[in-house]
Amino acid sequence: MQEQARRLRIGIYAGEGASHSWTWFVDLLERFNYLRIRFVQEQDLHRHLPDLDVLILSGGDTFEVARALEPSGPQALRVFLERGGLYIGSCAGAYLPLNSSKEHLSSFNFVRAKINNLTRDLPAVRALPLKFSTRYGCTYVIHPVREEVVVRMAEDFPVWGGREVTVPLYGGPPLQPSEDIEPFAFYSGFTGRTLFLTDPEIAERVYLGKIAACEKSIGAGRMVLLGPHFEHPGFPEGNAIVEEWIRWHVARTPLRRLPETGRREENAEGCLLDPLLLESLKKEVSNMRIRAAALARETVYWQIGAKVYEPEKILHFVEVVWSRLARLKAQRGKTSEPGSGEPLKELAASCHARLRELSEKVSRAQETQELAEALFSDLRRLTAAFLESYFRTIARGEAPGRREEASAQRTMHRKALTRR
Amino acid sequence: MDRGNVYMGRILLVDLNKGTCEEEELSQDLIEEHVGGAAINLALYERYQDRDPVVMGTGLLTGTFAPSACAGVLTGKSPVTGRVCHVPLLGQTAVELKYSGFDFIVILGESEKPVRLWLHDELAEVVGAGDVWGKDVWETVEKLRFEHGDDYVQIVCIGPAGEKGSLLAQVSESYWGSRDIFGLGASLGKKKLKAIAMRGLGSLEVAEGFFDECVQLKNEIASGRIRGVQGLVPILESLGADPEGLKAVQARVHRNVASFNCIYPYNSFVMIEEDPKLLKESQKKEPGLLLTDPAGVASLLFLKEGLPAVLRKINRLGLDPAACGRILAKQGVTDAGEAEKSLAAFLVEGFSLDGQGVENVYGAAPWPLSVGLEARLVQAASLFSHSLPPQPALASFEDFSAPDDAAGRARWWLERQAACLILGICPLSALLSPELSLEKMAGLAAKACQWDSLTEDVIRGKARQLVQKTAALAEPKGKLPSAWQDPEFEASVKGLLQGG
Repeated sequence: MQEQARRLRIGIYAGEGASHSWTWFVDLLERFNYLRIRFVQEQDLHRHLPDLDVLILSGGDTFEVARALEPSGPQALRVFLERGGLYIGSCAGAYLPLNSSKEHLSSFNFVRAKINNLTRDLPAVRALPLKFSTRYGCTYVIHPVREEVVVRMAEDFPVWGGREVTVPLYGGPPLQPSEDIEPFAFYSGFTGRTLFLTDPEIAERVYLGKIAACEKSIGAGRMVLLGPHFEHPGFPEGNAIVEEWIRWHVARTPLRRLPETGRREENAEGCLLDPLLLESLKKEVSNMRIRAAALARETVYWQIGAKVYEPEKILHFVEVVWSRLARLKAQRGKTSEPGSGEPLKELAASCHARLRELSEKVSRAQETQELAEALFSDLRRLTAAFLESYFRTIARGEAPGRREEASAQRTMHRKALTRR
Repeated sequence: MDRGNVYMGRILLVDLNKGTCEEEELSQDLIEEHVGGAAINLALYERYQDRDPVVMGTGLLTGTFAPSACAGVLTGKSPVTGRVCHVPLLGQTAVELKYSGFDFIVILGESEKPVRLWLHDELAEVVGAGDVWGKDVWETVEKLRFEHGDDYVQIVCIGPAGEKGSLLAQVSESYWGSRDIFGLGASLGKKKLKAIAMRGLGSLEVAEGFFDECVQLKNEIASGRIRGVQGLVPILESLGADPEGLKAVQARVHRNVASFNCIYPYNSFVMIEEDPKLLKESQKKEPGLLLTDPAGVASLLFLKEGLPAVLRKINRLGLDPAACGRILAKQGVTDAGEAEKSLAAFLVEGFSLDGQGVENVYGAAPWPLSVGLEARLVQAASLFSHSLPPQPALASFEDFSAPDDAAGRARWWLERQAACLILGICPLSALLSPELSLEKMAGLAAKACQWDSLTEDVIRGKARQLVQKTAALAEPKGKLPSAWQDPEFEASVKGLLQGG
């Protein structure tokens, strides 16, 4: 069954509206050796879904995701679920399928459950006002806490049943009980690292005892909704729960292999082991990394849709690419098809140029909103395009992934003696 | 445990004739034989001697939590003394070099056109330096930090003095000069290498228990000789510098700054354009200057309140402050404005102390503050920069249990400098704190990479070898000061260099 799970074809949404937390799923899946991963943009979700067994949609701007996936996304998602697909939505991905009358969101309406953090009257904010609430019609979705929360797994959840784990919450929903869902985790407490954005009593009312994670069966498939980010790399127990859920789904759902679509998968991203492509990418990404690390020291942020983006998120995307590039070793004789590495190189160069322009404007205290929006969009596309090529490379066994590498090379896992 | 774990494992060979970079593994054998820093620098120098190399290297402990583990070394043949010399790099440079992925850089040959080197994330690029050639040191540093988008980029560069081949040219560590009294700035100028920029986001691995030992030694040092003291002025005061000049400098001190992981903050930031009592951040572009060079500051104290402005100009031009101070004093200059104007004349190919009739030590500026025999012996050796005091400061030879005789003390100084530059420990800090003993340094080095046989005696042996081998490579050209010219003195120097 484990082997069967490893063969799952997994799609991760990295399109409009997604923030950066989808990369946490990438880390998790790679660590657990799920390597058949595709990265889905908003315009091609409906094209990819027939070839996927799992679709993951993590954090971001729910409204923007909903808008971007219309008109074909919702129906494609329904078909996917009916035939046995697994949808895992965390944070924004958990809000998306909930019933709503709001524009764009109403195209989804897969789950009849209410959130418990909706209010007409905004309470007083104690910290991070920009992250505390989101307008929702004439009401507000509020987020009384951030960072660590404690959840208790339902008794009948495999392996972890009855246990409490800490996981991070960054705006995900607490759900009220509903016949439409089967709850598997409940918010049960806070820790010394929980950040209260408002009166703790309000936080208790909003979260404690409410549903943190649940499932709904739709056709032969199911939706798993996670309020907290179980996939966050700093919370290994949460990660293990996600992985367990995937395996549990496989155990309960016969995997139906649809015929291959017949489309040849183009290697548009180039061969990552091609020395010239690898060197070019490393230079570009390293230069971006240095600039992004410097920008992360600036006190600046951008409001993009309903989300706030800090400069650290730029560094995050760059590090996702860099950490894997740094491990790849060029191989003589490996070359990209003529022209096939160019899109990736061009995208990296374009990101770098935009980042450079952004950092220069920030240093001169000039307006950077439009530039930041364009940059974050480019970074998502670059990261997704690179990862697409990366997973094809390691899935073919041509380069060590993280699990093989862990035992193969001592020098790759250094205890950080970090500065700054 | 692999010795290489406190290194990144890379030597970079930069061929300026071809404009190419090639990597070589830093082998276990090289580390076992030479340990690190100046000793490996020298081995690499010897290997590529016919290509007139300048080697920049890091010590075994550089960049770790070991107290004062900031030091790196530049090794090359001095165009001033004719000897192979080792110049300590004491800013953030060596730490950044190691974290950028390279332990040693060997710069070979000469470029046809001005170039610069950019080191980052185990990548090295030789690029044209048309954008910075002709600029002074400060302009170069600002331009390159802007180019690479990060103020934490560390830069080793030359100014107009190096570009023009003045023998007073000094390699500069970012804005603030360096300990280069041997004209390596002119060497880089001849190679048309304007700058080496580095930025590292890497990490090092050290053994369990190392951190705790570092903290323990750090606490011993902090509560020892240097307790309650800070800044460059007390150091110079303890060495007998002009009290009036020091008073004028101290009056402008805004803050004191320590180099990477150093306990004693021996760099002093003095305000020129701002009130030294200013607490909020200055809005002026260049409010002051960081004083980092004991010999340089001591040589210019006669300028009193004018010292900071003149030293700023000297730093910008990439000149050796100690040599400049000697010449200006000989010319009878006392006014800061006059001094700044005089500096332009120093930017000529081959300009030297000798050419100005100024007494010198084989062409290099003497240490300004001591006439003791051990100080003269150390300077006459001309292997390690005597821009650092040739004796302990804030403490005495007795505090360090150094020998009683002059020759013994000179040998002690040379071995201590050598040991520090092998291990990557700041040699100036090592002259301030008896608590930072050779035994403790060796102990930390052994702990960091679980190298049990790396004892104090082994390090002392490597240090002696470094002195002897460096001296054997070339004889000095030029002369000693007339008062030092004495067969007995010269025999003492010879004995010192041969391990006697």
